[in-house]
Amino acid sequence: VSAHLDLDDLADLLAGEGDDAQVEHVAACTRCSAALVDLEDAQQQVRAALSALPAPQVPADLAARLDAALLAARPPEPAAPRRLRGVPAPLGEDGPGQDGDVRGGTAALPLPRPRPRTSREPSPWLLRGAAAAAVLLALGGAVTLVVRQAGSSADSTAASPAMASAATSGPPALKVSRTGRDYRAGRPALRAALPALLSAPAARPEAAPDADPLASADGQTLPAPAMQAPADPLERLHDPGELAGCLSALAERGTRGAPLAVDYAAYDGRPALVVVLRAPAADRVDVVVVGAGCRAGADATLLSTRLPRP
Amino acid sequence: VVVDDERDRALLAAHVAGDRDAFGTLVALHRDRLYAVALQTLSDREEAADAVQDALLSAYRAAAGYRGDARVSTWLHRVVVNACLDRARRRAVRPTVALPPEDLPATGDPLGERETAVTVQAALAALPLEQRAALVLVDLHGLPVEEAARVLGVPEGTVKSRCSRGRARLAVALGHLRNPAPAASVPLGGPDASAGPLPAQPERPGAGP
Repeated sequence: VSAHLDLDDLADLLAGEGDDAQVEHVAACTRCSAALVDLEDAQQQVRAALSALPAPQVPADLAARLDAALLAARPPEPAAPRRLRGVPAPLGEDGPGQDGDVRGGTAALPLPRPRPRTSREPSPWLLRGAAAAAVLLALGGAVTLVVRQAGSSADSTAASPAMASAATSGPPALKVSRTGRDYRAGRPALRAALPALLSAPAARPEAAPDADPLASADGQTLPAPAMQAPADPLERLHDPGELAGCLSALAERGTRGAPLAVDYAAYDGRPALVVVLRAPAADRVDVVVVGAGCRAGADATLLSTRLPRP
Repeated sequence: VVVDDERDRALLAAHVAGDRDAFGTLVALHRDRLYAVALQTLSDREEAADAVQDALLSAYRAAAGYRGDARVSTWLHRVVVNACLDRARRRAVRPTVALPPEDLPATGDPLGERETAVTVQAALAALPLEQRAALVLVDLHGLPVEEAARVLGVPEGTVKSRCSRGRARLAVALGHLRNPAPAASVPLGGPDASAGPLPAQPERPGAGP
């Protein structure tokens, strides 16, 4: 090495990663050996300055958000769903639960637990039905589907006031985009797309069938037949009922509000649904990216963030 | 450390076995440190929060794949650091900016120390991404080089080189060099490494990628 060493070379030498030629050069070069000593002293000061930097702690709002995200990622609690009389249980449903039975001897729980439901509160099934109803109403009045969704629960009578409430409170019209774009850049890409997503046209209702093909002769709803695997992984979520189930799973989490917009898109090369929801603060929105597996009780969140509302 | 790791392994095993609360307990034990690493690597409060959240959700789902050849805390750091590096590379068009002063914790001397902290943090934020990530782990959080190498997934020699080069740049930026002449050939500050070519010189071939 005939030329003088630059800063990276000298730094590598100090790290013990220089090569033989550099070592020989420094041994023979007064200027570079002085620079090496100078740099070694300076690095000591830098280390001291870095180690003196105060360590940031998680702010309370971020801690709460993190807890909520982890809580949302939990598999649903096993529940004994109410069943219509005469409708047989799906295979294996009556067996022992796979989840919730295992308890390790771990420390106190840092995550918030859902508080027990009082007798005056509506059941989760009712809430889910109401959320689905609100979404379906937002989709533009697919009344037949709303009735079918509500009718799928034994609480169908009790569901009516909740549905009426959802209707009278005026859920926002859901804006639907189908950009197909890949939001792999995450937050910046979502932030850039927000104005367009929130100004997209409101959803048009799917053609409502004249007669509900899933309704049985007595007007109750039978289990849906198994669907064939769609070619588009997001195809299932084009169905208003499936979309409603997915959105209700999101709406049940944390402090998220009503869904405002969705975009059938991709994230990191995978098909994904981008959902924009009201946030507690009026000048913010929650944006959640979910996988194609999003459904009632399983939101399949890939990314969630809170952004300024444009 | 050994006791802590045994506790962490037990929590992770309980989570994999179906304990619904074990992972939350594990996260509560490491959350502050993981967030600090993310914030100091990304210099953006919201980005850091998103990175930690994404990383911990990934860890939650991938816990069954934990092989046990590194400490659980190392594994968690690796997941978080990878999430940070991914995010920093994706936002390549945006140069990294220093943490705003309100994101720095208060110190005993609200004037002098805080001012110094802001200056050091700004210089750190201007480093190439890979050097910054290595320095955050080694010099700010005191990880041994061996563990930092595991977290970053690179050889130990690469970590040593990145740290030393990063310190050298900081020495110039903070005015600690008596004779900064050798620095003339090395671009300082400038955009994040994610926004352009990586360090002015390639890292040592023998030091790995």
